[in-house]
Amino acid sequence: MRLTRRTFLGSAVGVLGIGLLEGCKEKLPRYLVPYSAPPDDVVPGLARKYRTVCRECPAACGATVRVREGRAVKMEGSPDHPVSLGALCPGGQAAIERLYAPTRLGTPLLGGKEVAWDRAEAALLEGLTGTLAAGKRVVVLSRPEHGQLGALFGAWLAALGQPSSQVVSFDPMARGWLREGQRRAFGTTATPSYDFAAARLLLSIGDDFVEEGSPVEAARALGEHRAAGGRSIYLGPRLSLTAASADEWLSVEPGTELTFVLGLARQVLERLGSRVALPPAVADGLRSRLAPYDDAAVAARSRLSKGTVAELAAALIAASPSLVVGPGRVAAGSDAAALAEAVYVLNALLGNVGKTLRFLADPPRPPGMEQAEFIRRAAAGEIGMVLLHHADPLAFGPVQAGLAAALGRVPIVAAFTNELDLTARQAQLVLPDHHFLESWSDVTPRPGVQGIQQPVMTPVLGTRPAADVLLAAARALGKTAGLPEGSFGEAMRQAFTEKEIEAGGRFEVVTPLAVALLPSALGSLPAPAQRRGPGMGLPLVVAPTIRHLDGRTPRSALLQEMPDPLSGFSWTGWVEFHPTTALALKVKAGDVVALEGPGGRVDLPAHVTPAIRPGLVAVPVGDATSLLDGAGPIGLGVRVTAVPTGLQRPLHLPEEGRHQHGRELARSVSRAAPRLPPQDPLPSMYPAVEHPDHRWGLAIDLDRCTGCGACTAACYVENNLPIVGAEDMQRGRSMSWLRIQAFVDETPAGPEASFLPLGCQHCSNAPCEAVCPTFATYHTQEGLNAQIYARCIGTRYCENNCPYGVRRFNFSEWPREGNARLGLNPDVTVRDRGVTEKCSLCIHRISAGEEEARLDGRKQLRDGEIVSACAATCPTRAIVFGDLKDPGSEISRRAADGRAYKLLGELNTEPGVVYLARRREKA
Amino acid sequence: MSFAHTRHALVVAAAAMLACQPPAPAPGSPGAEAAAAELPACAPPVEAGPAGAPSAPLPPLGITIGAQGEPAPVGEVAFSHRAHAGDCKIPCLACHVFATQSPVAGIPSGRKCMGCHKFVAKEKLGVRILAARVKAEQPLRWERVFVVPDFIYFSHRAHLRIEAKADCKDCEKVECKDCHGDVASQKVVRQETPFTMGMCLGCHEKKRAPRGCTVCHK
Repeated sequence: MRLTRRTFLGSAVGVLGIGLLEGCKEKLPRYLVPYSAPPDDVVPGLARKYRTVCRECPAACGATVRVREGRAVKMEGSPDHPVSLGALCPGGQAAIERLYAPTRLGTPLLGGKEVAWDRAEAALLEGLTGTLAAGKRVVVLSRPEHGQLGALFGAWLAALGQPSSQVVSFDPMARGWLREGQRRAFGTTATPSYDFAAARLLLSIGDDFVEEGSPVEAARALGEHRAAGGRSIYLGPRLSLTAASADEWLSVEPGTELTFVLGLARQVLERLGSRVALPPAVADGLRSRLAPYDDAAVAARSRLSKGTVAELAAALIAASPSLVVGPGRVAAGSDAAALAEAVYVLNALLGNVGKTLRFLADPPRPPGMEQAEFIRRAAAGEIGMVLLHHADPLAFGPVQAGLAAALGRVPIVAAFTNELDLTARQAQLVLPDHHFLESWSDVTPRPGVQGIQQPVMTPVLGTRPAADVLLAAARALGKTAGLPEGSFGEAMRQAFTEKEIEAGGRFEVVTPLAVALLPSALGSLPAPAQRRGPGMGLPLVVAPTIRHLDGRTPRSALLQEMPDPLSGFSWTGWVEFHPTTALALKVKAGDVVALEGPGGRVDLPAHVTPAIRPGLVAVPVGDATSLLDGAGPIGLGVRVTAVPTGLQRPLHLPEEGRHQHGRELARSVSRAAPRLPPQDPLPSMYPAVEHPDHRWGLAIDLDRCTGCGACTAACYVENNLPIVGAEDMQRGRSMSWLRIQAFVDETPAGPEASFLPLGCQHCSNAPCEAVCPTFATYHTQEGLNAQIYARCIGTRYCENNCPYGVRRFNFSEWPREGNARLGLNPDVTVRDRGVTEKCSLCIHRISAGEEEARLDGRKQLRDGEIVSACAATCPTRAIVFGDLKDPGSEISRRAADGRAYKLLGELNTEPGVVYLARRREKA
Repeated sequence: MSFAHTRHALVVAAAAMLACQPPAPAPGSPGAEAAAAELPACAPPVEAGPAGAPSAPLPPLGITIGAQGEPAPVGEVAFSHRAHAGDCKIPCLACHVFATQSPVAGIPSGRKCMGCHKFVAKEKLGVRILAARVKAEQPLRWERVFVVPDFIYFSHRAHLRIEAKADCKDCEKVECKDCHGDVASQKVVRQETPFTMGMCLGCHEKKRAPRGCTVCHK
């Protein structure tokens, strides 16, 4: 071989390369392993989709799970399911991350030690035999399971010779006051159904429906309501996401919401006079009961300016049909049931019942055991064994102290769980259950919707389904009367048709019940709410947040990592103060504050914001439960003291980043004239960029965006974004491709929050492309700003030159522990340390869609055929993906709207992302 | 992707390995098998013959990207493409059924092999190993010969179901052998074409296929 300069250099680098190769931890797999016997319906390399139900919260959205080579890689909303209609919240998006989480339990534990399943099942059997022999009770304490699984619990207990009603439904975050208020007002406990879209004016009494309850369904309804030109007003102590989505934020002195609503009812009744749609006797009764709540009295108590209530009453009457919802958790004190009653009365006065507020009869449910009865029987020593099924009362701290103490008196506690939660740690026997994506069940979140939860893949760990463990135990005891012959899965297949399983459930339209206001409504009003806790303390507001919904969603690494849209905190809870309150308490932003309430103490970093009423302390649900006592609902009602500890926690987001400083990033227009001033095209030194076939882009309607962050979570899962952890998040090393940039600006009318979902803008004149020394980033013919990781050498010039700050640098080799690799999307490259990355506009989805169309012999792509992950999951359809070159597409229609603008348009970067300005009362 | 920076070095490393190998014999020539058996000194060791103990860890192969003429490995069963695709004229797609449906061509399952081998060549050692594995419901492991790095997204179906452009004389259909070589003549398959970006782009240019980076890099 002739040695030339070229071959010499080649060999030299080659030797070096071999050295580097040795250092390479990850190699391509050496073997190709085919199936021994192939499943009929699996084509390697292509995804299969299964319908199931998301069980991350009781809203139980229908889900479509994408499965590649037998492993679930992405979950999306099921378009056929009436609750989700194709969308999911951040919690649902994070389900995949939790499925493969290293914290999941795969081996049974007996007395805290790992044992084989034989041993664990023998221990369960032993416990059951002993309990039954001693004549004690066996009780199942489960998360709400009202379908086939709940029925199986009952049948199983009956087979053992126990009353089938010994099933306690553990639902600590249920908003029981709503049902109670409804019972008092209408005499029904049927499920209320709200029609946001039909309501011309929506008044929320502290109901954070974007954060709590059924967030996907509510957010979508809110989007429709806004698109139809509806207005909304939020009354609550803090500017939550729901409040930020409303047109107006009002706040009253916490605890005086009832007075306010009664005053409002009085005004409405007065103004309507004889036009009120109630029998005269009922109306007269109300008139006399509401008499003390005149404008002056209400304004004085709730510290609102005089006339506000009257103005609101007039607006509600003018905008018929309207809708009043609530009270939510932030308004739920000891008088919550009466407040709920008052809200229902107000709706009845306004004539909303049957129009925007309907009641649907619940399907019959087998009788269960009340929590109070369980506690009583446990105290009496009647209960010999408890089977916990995805119930973690100890996580609720002092709030559930009674239940925790009762569990402590039960001799044997066995826990079916996915993770070693606080209660499972105390259990003698821990039986790891399948994840909901690996097992069967069915859920009825509301009448007419029965979602079927089916396994979409074989289990990743050595878990066993709880139902089958129970069935096996019954068989071993020889007590199988009334139980299914085979497995629970087989029983489920018999209970539903193949078609129903494929569709994801049984869905039917339910006829609303006819209800009328009871003459006794508002008959007995409670004394003003009393607060518990230190006398010197400030009222505590328990705030539901979207990351952890109502606090019931178990904590996932992805949800922890995503900064809270409003406060910007990640990997920690926080406590909110108004600047004046903070000044009085000598607290600065980022100070760690010791909070002490009747339930206990918790230390949290301070978030000082104008987005809360002065004189209050607000803490997100998860941490607030440590401060509460068990005397009232998880809501208002206690006082806490706040003392700075002297420690500091650096804020993830610099304070300045939360204000727009008049830069008009998240723009707004007046509702009367929803049009932005026209912009003349700017001159450019560069030739115009051509896009011969397509110009892919996003249109983001800020009028619909609630800032929920489902898009962010979907992007994490779809694009294999690493979770960097608390430390790196504080260093500003978030890898999020699409973030919710939230601004809270002071306006003459008060603080105003706006959300800007911000990812790569896919500019035609991209500043990043010009500075890349290796051409790792370039503009494709289809309008994408592409990032080629293999070319990137990590100079970070692009990141510095990007005016939108959306490029991310891989500072480390982010770990993926345990089974986390199984959840990676095989269609997207996993980036290495030292390269820059950013939104690809889901280029793999674009290519797949184009390939599919080409193979079908179609030249044209249908609008909506290709959808990016963020657009697919957006509950309000704020984000739309499409081809800007297709004049008939939804994105083109939006881009032509008078509200459309380009972010930092003065830079003439010509982005492919279009924003639509938010409509406000006064722009 | 596992090596962003090292990737360039790797390609060169592969080239360096090539430098000390004898030139690959022409496909079908008698030297082809000999080259496979006779390993050059600088190549990593390769397990020989049908594996007696398949569970024993095999030495690393040191897979290199775009390595033309990489010594052909022998898997757990001495499978001959020449016997199947050459002598018996079984079309590629009969076994690699997913090539036209999916980005992945797929390796046939043991049960698929047994579809023929229940009746054919039952006495051969390889078939006996196969039969035992299928009976025990254990898959056979196959040595990987053709390697596309995991940051490249190649679609078999897109290439095999391509539509020829009417005005382009070079735009005939892509066939399996264009990339995989004439496996019908090889007893032990080896990579004869370099799986490099240059090779992909050369063909894409000739056939007027899209040439943007994001066609393959995602």
